[in-house]
Amino acid sequence: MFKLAGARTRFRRCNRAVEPIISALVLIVITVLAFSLVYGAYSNWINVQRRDSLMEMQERIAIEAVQFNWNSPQKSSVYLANIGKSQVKIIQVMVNQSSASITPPADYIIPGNSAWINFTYTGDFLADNIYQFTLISERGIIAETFEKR
Amino acid sequence: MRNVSRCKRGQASAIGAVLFLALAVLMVAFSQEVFQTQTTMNEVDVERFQEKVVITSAYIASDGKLVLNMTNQGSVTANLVRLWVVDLTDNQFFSFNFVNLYIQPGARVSNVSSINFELGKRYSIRVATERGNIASYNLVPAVHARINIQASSTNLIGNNVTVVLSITNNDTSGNSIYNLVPQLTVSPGPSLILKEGPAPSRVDLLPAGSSAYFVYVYKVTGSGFTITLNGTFQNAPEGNYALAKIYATAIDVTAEVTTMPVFHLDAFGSVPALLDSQNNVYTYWGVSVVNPYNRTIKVFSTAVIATSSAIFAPGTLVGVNPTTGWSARSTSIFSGVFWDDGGSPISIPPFSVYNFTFRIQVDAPAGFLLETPINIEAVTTEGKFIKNYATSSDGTYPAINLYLTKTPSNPTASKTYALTEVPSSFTQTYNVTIYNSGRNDLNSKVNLLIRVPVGWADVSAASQTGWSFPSQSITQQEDGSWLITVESSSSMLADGTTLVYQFTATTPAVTYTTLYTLAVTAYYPGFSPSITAAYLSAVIQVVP
Repeated sequence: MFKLAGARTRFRRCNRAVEPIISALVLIVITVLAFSLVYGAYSNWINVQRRDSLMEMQERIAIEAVQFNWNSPQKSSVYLANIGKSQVKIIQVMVNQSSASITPPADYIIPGNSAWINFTYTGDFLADNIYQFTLISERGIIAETFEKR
Repeated sequence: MRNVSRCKRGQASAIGAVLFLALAVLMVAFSQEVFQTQTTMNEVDVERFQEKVVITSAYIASDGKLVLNMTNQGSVTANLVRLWVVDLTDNQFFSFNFVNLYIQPGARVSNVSSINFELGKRYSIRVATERGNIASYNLVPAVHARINIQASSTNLIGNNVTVVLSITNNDTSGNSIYNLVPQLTVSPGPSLILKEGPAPSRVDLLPAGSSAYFVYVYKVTGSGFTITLNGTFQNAPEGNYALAKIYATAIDVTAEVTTMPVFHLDAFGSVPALLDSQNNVYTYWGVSVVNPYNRTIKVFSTAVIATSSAIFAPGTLVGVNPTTGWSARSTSIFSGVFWDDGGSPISIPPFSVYNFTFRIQVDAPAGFLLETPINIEAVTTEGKFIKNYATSSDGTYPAINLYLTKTPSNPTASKTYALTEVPSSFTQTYNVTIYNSGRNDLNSKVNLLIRVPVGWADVSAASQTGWSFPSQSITQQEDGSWLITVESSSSMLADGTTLVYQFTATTPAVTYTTLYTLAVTAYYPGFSPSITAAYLSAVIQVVP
């Protein structure tokens, strides 16, 4: 009985001998797939963070000068220095909290460089008045200055 | 078989573990990257915050170039990358890139730009650092500044006078004035001849809160006695100037003359003349002890003494100011009125005057008494002072008193021999009053001679009742003082009547309390002998 029992046991094991392999393979595949999905999602998240949050974290801008009424009565310029470690693109200029249109659209400014941001403001710049200029980057970083015309 | 099956399950676990480990490594690496980025940017921000470059001065040199002096007041080395010059007048921009211009903490650098600046324009100078900090400096040709002129108020003709023009930039916006060129004009022009100055001729830069001093030396020619100085600076805003008046005189200011401010401790008298000696009428007398020093003096006694005649009736003496301490003595050959302190001397504060006044009846012997000497005396903590006057009396004479009144409508109610606390540069009317307190008429016109001291201005008098306007003459004398002469309309001043002459004058601009005397003489051309005349020394205290 013992042997029989033992033989039965071995027989049963032998009968199930394929299943563990398959199940192990299935488990491996499932594990790899699951971890691949997790890894992919996480890697994608990291890439997004690197592209956005980390870049935003490294973004620094400073307004060096404002030139009023350049070329035409409404067109003016702001000289912006990229003092951060990521490239910057200005997407909005505001004068006294009123939006001004950037013409032409600003290019990216690479770290360590500076550039004029040209914009058109519909209001008038009156002599001896103080104006607030606000520049907003595509990542939402704000630079602000007050200038007297 | 058991071992085989365990081995197969171990592979899956190992793969899972590896993948999990890879994920964990990735997480740790990214966390490390985030932490590193945060640390780096924090350092960038801290360094930017610690950086402080200041433009200590910026000015346009005589060659038209901009001179820039900068100091790094921060704790990190600053890399200056760009200079901005904004022409605020014409809205033009210039920028220049610095090349490897580093300033160590605490260090200073000077930079002379190659730009040619045009004078008379407003400029904003900016220096940008690599960290994005901006140092600014505003240069303007002019702001509304505080201007002062300092010069001695009275100057001897032929001597030099030093004039200091001070200009203070009190602009609250922090603008600095560049190329400050002083301007001082003299009116009338020939009265002062410029010998030296201005020194310096210009100042490159006058930062906000600072003052510049320009020294001029002029020679006083005497072409004009009241000289107006107008001080300003080139490009000054309209109305930004200072005026000062100085006075030229031919008389040594150290001399004791009535047309100058009182420089020495002294006693002045106001003496009536003529005197009605028969009818025992009251006459009014004044003794002004003047203290022009910056220390208090004390008066122990004063006296009015007729040294060779007995004109005062001792029993009729009435002390007016002070009311006590008075006594009178008389013999056949002299008489006197005395005031004694009784152990409590009167203190006269610095730069002020005390006026002793009394009234007394004249009790002269009947008959003609011509120009009997009158001594005015005072004993003070600084010595005894004596002045001589004269008066005349007779039984047929009126009693003519001379004083100032503050109430011309009732001129006998207030008799004043000194005016105090008169403001500097203040125009007001002075009421010179002649009062016949006798019982005889004065059968003559009254001529008034009023000497207004040097430094006073705008002396004038309108036509007024009782006085002959055509006879009136107001002239500024060669020494800078003024002389008013005027004659009464009527050839008689009845007993008990008054005649008030009003003139206006502006007190000098004084920077410290100054004492002047208005010397007034009333004489009677129709009276013989016309040598006799009433005399008033009215002391005027002018305060800043």
